[in-house]
Amino acid sequence: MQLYIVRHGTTDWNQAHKIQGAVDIPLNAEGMQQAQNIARRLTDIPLARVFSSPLMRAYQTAQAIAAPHGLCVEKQDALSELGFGRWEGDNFRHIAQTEPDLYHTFRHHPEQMVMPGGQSLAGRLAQSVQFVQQMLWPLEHACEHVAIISHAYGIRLLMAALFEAPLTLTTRFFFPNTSLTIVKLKAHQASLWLLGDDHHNQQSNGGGHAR
Amino acid sequence: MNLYIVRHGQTEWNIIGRMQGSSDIPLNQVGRQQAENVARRFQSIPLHAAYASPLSRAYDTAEAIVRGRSLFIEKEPALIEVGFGVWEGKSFEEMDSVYAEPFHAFMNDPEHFPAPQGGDDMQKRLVDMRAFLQRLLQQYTQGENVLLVTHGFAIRILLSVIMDAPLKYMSAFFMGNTSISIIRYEHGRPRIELLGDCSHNPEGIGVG
Repeated sequence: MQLYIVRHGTTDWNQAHKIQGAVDIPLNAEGMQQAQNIARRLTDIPLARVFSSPLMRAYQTAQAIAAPHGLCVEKQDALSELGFGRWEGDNFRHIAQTEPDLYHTFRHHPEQMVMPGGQSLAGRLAQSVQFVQQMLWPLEHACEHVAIISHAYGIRLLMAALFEAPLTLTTRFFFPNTSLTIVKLKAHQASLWLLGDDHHNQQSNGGGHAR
Repeated sequence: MNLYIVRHGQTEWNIIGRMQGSSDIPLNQVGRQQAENVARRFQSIPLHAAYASPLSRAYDTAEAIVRGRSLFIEKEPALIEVGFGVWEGKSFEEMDSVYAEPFHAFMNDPEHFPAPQGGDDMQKRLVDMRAFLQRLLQQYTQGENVLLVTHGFAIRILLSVIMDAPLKYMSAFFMGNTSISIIRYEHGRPRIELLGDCSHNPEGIGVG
């Protein structure tokens, strides 16, 4: 089974480098265009299911992807973004200065982290693990192509669950808006084939950019 | 410093499914075309340095990318493919049947399970790769683009060192022929921004 993991399109807060977390900011015009770009890229893939975070920026992206396939978008709380509590609306550079200890724990000891909103990061990871084990693995033989639309941290949590790898590893991955990441599931093993590819959002001029 | 990591183009052994390791199997016709395809992707990217594994499938891929630039390709031993000793030349079917147990044990945890007879010592490969990365970080500054053309397993060793993560987690990464991966260093810290991009080849992410 191939998973097509997509981060939502851009929003005003993304462009202002403001942490969104659980705040439900919708796609802006550019984000809507990006959603169309990734939808076009996935049009020829015979998607069987489309799972999405319930937050608007992801759900709108998922709707664009699902439309050409006549599929409905299935909301999954486990794909929602990590709640950042009082950090929402702020930016990481500022937080690193004003709350260095908590920020350090967040970056380097995620297993001990309690988010400013009160949620334990370990608990949130357990949710992702449950989604992988109870929703995804059972589909392995039934579905060949599944789309998953989530968020920067939501995807890092999902990857940690899929690869049984620590969060300190997956938090080194950076996912541009509507970037495509492809993971194959086979015989209970996950393999990574593509990560962070957003060239469908770039203008092609002549030979094109590698990035 | 930005690392642009490219895996070599296709060879005959890639297609028929034989373990290459340090065997010097050349690019086939598809591989040479793939090298041209990836070279086109790099047209608008300035490169400050280029390093390649000395094996011809990697070096020739690097030559296609660097052609027309006044850039010298440094042959770098740290980038050579991992030697697989007695497994080299064996088909993937044999590896999954006759050698299944040692092969899968090794692939699942290459640092701690025995390498095949005559194969590379993983600890030494990690040490050499770490030293190479250190040299690069000392030599190149923020914003300078460095091309590294190398091989599938060597890329896993490189990523293990970059991410400071156990090699066993890298066994899950499959980089297609001439795939592009980009690591951006900012304030000395690596950001994994792209892995395995083969979109310049018609077969896309290619074989499963």
